[in-house]
Amino acid sequence: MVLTALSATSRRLNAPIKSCLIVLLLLFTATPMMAQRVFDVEGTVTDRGGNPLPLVNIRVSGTSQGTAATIDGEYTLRIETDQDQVTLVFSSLGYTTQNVSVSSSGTYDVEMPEDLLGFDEVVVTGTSGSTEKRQLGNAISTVSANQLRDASAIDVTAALSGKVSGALVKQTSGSPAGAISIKLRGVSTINSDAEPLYIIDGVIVDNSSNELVVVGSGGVQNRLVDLNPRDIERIEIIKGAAAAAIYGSRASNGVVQIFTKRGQTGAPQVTFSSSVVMNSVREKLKVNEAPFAWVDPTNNTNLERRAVDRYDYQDYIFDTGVGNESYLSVSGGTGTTNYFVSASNYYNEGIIRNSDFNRSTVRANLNQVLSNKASIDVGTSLTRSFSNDIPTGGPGFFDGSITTLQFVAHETDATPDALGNYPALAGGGAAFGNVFEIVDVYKFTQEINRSTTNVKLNLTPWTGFSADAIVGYDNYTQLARGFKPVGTVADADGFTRRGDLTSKLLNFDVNAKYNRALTPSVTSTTGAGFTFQYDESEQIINEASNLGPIVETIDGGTLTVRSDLVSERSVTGVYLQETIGLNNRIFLTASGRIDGSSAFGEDENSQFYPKVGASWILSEENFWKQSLGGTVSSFKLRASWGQSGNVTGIGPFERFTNYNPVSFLGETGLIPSTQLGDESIEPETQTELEIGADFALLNNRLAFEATWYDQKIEDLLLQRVLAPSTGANTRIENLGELTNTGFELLTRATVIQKRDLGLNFVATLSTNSNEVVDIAGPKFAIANGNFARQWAIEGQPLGVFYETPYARNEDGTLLLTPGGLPQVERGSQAVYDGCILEGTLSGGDCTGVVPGARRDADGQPTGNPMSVILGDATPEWIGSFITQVEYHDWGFRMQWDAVQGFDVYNWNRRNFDRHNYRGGYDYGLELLDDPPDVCEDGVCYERKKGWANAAGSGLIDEEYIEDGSFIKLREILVSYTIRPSTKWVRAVEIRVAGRNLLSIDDYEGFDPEVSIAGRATGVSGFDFGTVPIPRTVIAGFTIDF
Amino acid sequence: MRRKTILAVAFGLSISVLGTSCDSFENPNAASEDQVVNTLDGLQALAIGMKREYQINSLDEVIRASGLSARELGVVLGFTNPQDLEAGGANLRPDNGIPVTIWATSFRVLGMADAIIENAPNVISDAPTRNAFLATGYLFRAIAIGNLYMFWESFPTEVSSDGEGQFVPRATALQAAIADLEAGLSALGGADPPAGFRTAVFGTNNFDLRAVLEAHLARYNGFLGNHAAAIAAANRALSGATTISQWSYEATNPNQMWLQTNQEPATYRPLDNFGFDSTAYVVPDEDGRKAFFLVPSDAIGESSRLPVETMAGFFSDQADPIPVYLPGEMYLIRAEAEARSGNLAGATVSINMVREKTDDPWGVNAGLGPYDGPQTAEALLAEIYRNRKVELFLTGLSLEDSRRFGQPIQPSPPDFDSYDRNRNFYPFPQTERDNNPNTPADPAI
Repeated sequence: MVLTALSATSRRLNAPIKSCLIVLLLLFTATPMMAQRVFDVEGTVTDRGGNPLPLVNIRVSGTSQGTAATIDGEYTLRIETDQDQVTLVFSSLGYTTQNVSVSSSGTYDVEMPEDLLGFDEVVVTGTSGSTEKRQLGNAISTVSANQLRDASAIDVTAALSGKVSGALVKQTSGSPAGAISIKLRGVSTINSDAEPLYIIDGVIVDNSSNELVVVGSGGVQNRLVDLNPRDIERIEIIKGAAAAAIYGSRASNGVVQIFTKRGQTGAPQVTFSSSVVMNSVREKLKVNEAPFAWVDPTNNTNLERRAVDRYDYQDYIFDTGVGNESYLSVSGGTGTTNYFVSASNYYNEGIIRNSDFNRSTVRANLNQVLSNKASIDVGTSLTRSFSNDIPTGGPGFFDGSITTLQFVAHETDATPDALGNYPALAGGGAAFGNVFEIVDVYKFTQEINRSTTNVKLNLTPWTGFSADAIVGYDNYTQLARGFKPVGTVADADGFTRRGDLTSKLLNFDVNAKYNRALTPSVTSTTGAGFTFQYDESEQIINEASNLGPIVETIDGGTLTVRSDLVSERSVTGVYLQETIGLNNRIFLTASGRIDGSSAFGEDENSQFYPKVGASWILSEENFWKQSLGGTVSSFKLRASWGQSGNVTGIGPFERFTNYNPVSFLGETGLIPSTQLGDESIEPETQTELEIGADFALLNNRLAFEATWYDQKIEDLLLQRVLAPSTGANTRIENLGELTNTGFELLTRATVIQKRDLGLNFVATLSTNSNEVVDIAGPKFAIANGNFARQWAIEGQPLGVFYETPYARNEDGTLLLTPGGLPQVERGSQAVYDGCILEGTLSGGDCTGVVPGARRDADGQPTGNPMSVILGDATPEWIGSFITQVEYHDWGFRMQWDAVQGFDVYNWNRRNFDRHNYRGGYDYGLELLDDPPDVCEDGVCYERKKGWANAAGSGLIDEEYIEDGSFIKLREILVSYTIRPSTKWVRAVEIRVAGRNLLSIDDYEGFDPEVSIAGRATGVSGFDFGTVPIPRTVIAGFTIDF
Repeated sequence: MRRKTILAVAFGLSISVLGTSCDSFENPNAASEDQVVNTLDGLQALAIGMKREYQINSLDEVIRASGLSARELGVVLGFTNPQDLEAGGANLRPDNGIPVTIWATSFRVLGMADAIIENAPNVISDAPTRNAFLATGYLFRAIAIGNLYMFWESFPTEVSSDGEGQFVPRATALQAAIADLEAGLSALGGADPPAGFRTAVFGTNNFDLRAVLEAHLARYNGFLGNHAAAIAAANRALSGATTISQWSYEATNPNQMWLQTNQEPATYRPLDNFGFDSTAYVVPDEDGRKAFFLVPSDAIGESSRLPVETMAGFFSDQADPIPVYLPGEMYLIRAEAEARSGNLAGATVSINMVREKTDDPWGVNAGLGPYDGPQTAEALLAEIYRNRKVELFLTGLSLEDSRRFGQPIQPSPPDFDSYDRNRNFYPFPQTERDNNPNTPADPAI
């Protein structure tokens, strides 16, 4: 069956692979069942306060048998074994693993002390199989189902915000299923996005953010929104090459591994929950409120005004969105067959009128024990989602709900006339549309149908040896449509577009692990594995204009755009890893992985990624126990060094010089691409060193995980500009170098833990400093949907704003024009660059507010407008603070997230300031009878007509580069649990939660968190036309039967 | 233990067997270089692509650049690149998109032509077809070099993938173009290209490859002052042509100059009086070419404030063909060569062929009386220049003509009424300078 799936999905999979697979599968034929004894055990698992611990994982050591405690901490298990005595291992995230010997049937109650450092927690990501955290030389972050549930987010990536140190989680759009960008330990690439590798139950999944029909800024949904966060049991995150080397060419942006829930032995457990969601806009843009307009907006000396009415169109386009979520899961099992089945529906309205998102999911996970040496896991999930999107606008697409607000003067009544015709709005012109018509009449939709399947065979053929084989398949189709009927204000000819995308990802992995004791105090763990990964996508786009009436499909108009794109890529790799343990306190690990890919140059198909790591549990050494043990109850030192690559930075066919078809005079010709191929292209290589310490004080009640890391990304892929006399314009080459250095701290404190009262704090703090070391030239603008306003400059962080400043006097005050208006700085760019960027000049020329600025005889700026470094979109630090209180049946949780020390280009405000559009609040102030002064740093200037436009149209970027630092009340939750005495209902929980209720910032726009370019690296912190992140309130209940 | 060891070894072996990457996928969206240059179909598609690249991305920029630098066009919609080019002068930026595009597309065409010339002998067995491909490759190579010659003092004549192309002086480069044209003619020999080749590659039967090669040979020999060769080639082009030769367009690949000058809102419009300084020469109303090219209008240019007319001529409709060369040009090349080599009577005859023409296949008919001015070389050359400016209006030759005929260049500060062109040569493109260490210093103006 596996092979059929493989050959059916891969279009041109080579025959050798298939024969390879057969060999491997033959290796893993099951061994016969040999059960001689049966122990029936049961009991209750509690924490040190005596509170029952739900969902504790219980397994029989050395076998694949096991179960989990119920929500009330109770468990029952039938053990079949050929041994006289077995060891039951009780493990749960955040608690010290307990081993219990069982030699007869009976009741075994277990108390589990909390373990804030999780030395005994078993993780699998970045290791060659289940490994205790104590063995790892690198940091690993884990997130539990409860943490995700408390976040009440629609998307798992959004729920991760603030829970993982070193992760910058950014919602780039406030659409009802808005895109999320995650950057682990800074950005490590320029040429592609820097999203981590996502693996769900062993399946490599697609988290792309394809926009088949452009709906505007911020990026559309990312595909992890297809996963219901409630299905997740646990998430493991590793953040860089030092931990991820065995993932080879895919891991330089880190790895996020997600495990969904599994059935537990026992009677069926049914969980039903339902909630209501309310979304509203948190902050609006300030628009022109002046009751006048200039008769001649372009002539600053003509102060004649006319009276006008003002309208704030936001009152109509923003609307409170109401949604609801229903979730049902059933799980249980017989001991040899366990199951987990869930179904859900989520309907969510956006804050833009008429936008919504509707998602339905079904998941089934089945585990079957074949013998005491073999078991098989099968999981499958289906997702369908449908969204009504309102275009928001963006570069090249100006008639959008948010952009149009900026391009009109807010002086026209936008409501339609009696015949339903919408008026054009005064301001920029008809091309920008009528914003009421955009939300009422435009019809943009997207539908996703997705299935993911995993089949995993687990073998423990003899003591110490375990192996598994996984086939993962992720497949979805995306269908997007956009329709503007004929006769709209912006598009009189009408517009219709349809895009279809089919994406398939297949991976086949085999892993084996062999544990043995070399001597009583020295253990060896050897791991080896093979992976084959294949992805393919096909995309078709059709677009038509000059529509007839009524008909919405492509046939209703004249075809203007057509495209048909196929993409195909494979990665093959093997790894070997060896860990030596000394007295279970010191662990040394070394591994290597070799990779090849169809995207790499022909001679670059054996990329090698080494890794070494060490960990030392000092607190278990006698000398420690006798000296510091009383104060520092746990202490682990760890260090790790490794390399990994970034295959997704290379397009599947980018190594070729491609000749593209062109249609001409009834024939089809071929034209070489202006981008030359590079047959020596190889993945970017990240080399990372991380050093850290995990320690706990006060009898493990206060724990710290601290990590310092240093990353160097070499062979950075850059689009190199070529001399046109080569016959081409560009070539993607391995040219550059980037570095990231940072520090991460996670603190957990258990302040009170009593039978009916608990108080916990969790805090994270992360810093990252990024530097562009080498980009084969001093600087270039990164063109990625933001008008190339952010730059890669050697010696600077990636994505700095290198833009035009105000002309200033020596004392820092504005140097105004003779007409009393602000103006742009002018002078010699070469002098500035020499002083600041290249460090080649110093002395006399490198002084003044802006080195290189020039003044003419009248003291006015002279020369060309200058660009200077005005800001940086990379945060200096990010942090979060979580408070958790449990009191009897009440629960309370609050999470604040802080992102500090970064700048945002407020392009929205720039448009508002321009006299071609005339819609801004500041622009309106100039129209008042007695305009208030413009003040900056305590110095005030007379606000004359043309002041706002001087920066808006004159393009003084400095005005719009704002500090984006914010502190947000990301999550707040109050819950109450009722435990009725009835037999049928075990617990009813009622909860009210809020997301993004409050933001503390000085930003003069919707929200400094959004970004025009979605997840793109290099371009972040650019605000134009993005939907703000809504304020969300969720109220609901969960019933456990 | 033995069994375990064997299994472990087997596992290790199978892993290492699998470790070698097996895959190399072909790109279904595009062809690879190997596929293109090693098949007849591939070379034919490349020839079509090359011709499209020239017609759609290069030719219009040549016409526009010379039109703006040598007073044929006025900018009526405010875009920076055309306005800067229209203003001209010493400060023209090296990243102005119009010259940069001429430079880049010329090298793209050059590279494609080289691929055809290099590979046709190995791939095409049928001799007439092979020769037609070779002649086409040589023609486009020569055209690319000829266009670079008109705008830059020196430039590489070969594409070089290492980005370090060697610059050669423009006259030397044009000699190479002439050699290419001669090689093209010699490849054709006495045979005509197969009819199927003409319609497939040129999209029309209105393309006489031999006459086009001869016409360019005449043009470039004329540029270099090779008078006898120019006269001979011009005569062969005139007498040997079996049909007019045209660049064809269609709705999906429209006439780019129509798009820029006639599709509203137009960016450019033709200057009044063909751009002549009206104190020096006024094109008389009875000159039939005035009505052919210009529709009277009261509009004025946006920044130059010069009066402009509405465009007619070869740019009235999106599918209007553009002549590859005009018969009038051949007469004027002959006249110029004769005048410069002292054959004043012959020059007069040639000038009158243009002045009295009423049967031009393209409809460019002056319909004037014979030349009645002084029989001096100077006067005849002035008459030839006037006629070139009118007869060859917006064919891309005007900057080269203005320079060769020694017309006045823009003074500083500019005075719109006193000059014929605003630059001699363009600065080298910034991207070339940034990436090719051999790029010479820019000309002063």
